[in-house]
Amino acid sequence: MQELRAFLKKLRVLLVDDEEEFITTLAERLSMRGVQVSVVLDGKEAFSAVESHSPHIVVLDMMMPGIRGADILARIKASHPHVHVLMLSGHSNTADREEVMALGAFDYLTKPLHFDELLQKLYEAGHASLDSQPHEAKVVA
Amino acid sequence: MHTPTTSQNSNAPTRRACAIACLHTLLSSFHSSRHDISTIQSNRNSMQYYQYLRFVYTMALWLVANLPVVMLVALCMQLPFQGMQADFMIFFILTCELLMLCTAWKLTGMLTKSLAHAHKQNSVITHNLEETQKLAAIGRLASSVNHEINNPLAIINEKSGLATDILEFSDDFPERERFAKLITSITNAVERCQGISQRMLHFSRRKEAVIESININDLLAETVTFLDREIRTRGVNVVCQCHQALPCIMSERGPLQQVFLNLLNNGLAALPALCPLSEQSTLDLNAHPNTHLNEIGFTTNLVDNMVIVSIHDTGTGMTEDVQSRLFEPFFSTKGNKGTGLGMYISQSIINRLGGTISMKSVLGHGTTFTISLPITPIKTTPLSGDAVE
Repeated sequence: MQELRAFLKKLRVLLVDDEEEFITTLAERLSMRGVQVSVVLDGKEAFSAVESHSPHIVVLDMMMPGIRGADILARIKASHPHVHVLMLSGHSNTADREEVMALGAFDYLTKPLHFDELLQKLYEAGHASLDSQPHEAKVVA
Repeated sequence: MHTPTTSQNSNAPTRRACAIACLHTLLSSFHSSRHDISTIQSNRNSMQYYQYLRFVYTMALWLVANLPVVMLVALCMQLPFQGMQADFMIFFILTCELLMLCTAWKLTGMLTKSLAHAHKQNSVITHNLEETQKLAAIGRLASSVNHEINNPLAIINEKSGLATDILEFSDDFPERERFAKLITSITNAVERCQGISQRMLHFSRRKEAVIESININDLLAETVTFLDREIRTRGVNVVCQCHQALPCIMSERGPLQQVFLNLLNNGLAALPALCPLSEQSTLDLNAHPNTHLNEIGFTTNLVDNMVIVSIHDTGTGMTEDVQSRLFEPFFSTKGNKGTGLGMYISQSIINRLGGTISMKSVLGHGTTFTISLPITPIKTTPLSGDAVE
């Protein structure tokens, strides 16, 4: 538990969801645990936010107005393969899960979130992301 | 002494009048029958409809068959018949008429019987199609509701989570424990809502026939939760005896759950509207059946490599007549509340999955349905529509 908390403080996480109430609360909860969080409410701005914030992990909603989460995921993975993406969805759908996992998503979580499960996934994705960036891993270690 | 010419001349107008009267009667009866049919056409399942249809067909067939007889009569009227010969001719014609009528009645009987059978089959297919369409619409609605509900649920969940975090990170204050308990209640309610929404989605989602590993004990327990509210409201006891070492079976989850739900629903319907003897309903996983007056439940067992599921109720039971017609399509004891297809479709599903379903009922004491299911899968063909009554 201690290791998890210490590790979370090293992470930069970008949260992308149009549900403001949900995502800002989630951001606050993660911030309380020391995670460096950025929030984007418009899916179309997600890609530029990845460029500007250089997150280790992106938590991305599947359904947003005007753009599909899967399309954003494909663009992020094409240009930033070391950034791991956790997909969020309002309903569990096998076809959606298979699609995003094939596109390189780290995992697919359904709302309402189990917070401890999310922390565990952030821990795993963070390790995977830092391992794929040897220089930064060295710095944060 | 009559000459042949005189006899022919004197009888001709009478015979012509008789022939015209006969034709008129036939046409009138045909017309009136058609009128009567149009009024009852809406109910193809009634025996009356097929009796009218048989009558009309018989008349029509007789009329057509009468054409050569009429020609024969016309020919006879030209011939110099008299005395015995004329009587013999009349007897011969009347016998022909009677024979034709009997043959036509027999033929149309066979025809209307096969027509009634075809109509019945058609109705089953139409009903199945309607139920499938209805289920597909519910599936789409459930998917949409699932998404729309989960988003606000996620907000409630995160807000209560944040409240917990604030409690955890802040200093002690009066009634801290009470706040923590209140927040836990909110989180539990969120999980409950999520479960309901998820079950509704899984149940209504129509899929291709997917053979998967199923724990029958878990599936039955999950199905009972669909009826949780009614069970609690009516104070019904649910008694379950699960075979603990029951192997998982390879079968289709959705259709099986549909059958279990149908049988449990029917069991509940057979119980009194309110169960006054029980103040609070219980789910007893190890109690013996029939120890409570108002109960439904299930028992699982393993016999000869087949999983045996018994679903029982202590309701009104069924008469022998109802028992003999239970699996017939459109047979319902619920009047307008039932489609009469639930048991028929349940049997179709179980047979399709390689199992059997049987029933034992004692009037006034209750009913037990026994389903046997193979552990290994069999080759299945998807039904056009599996619907629940």
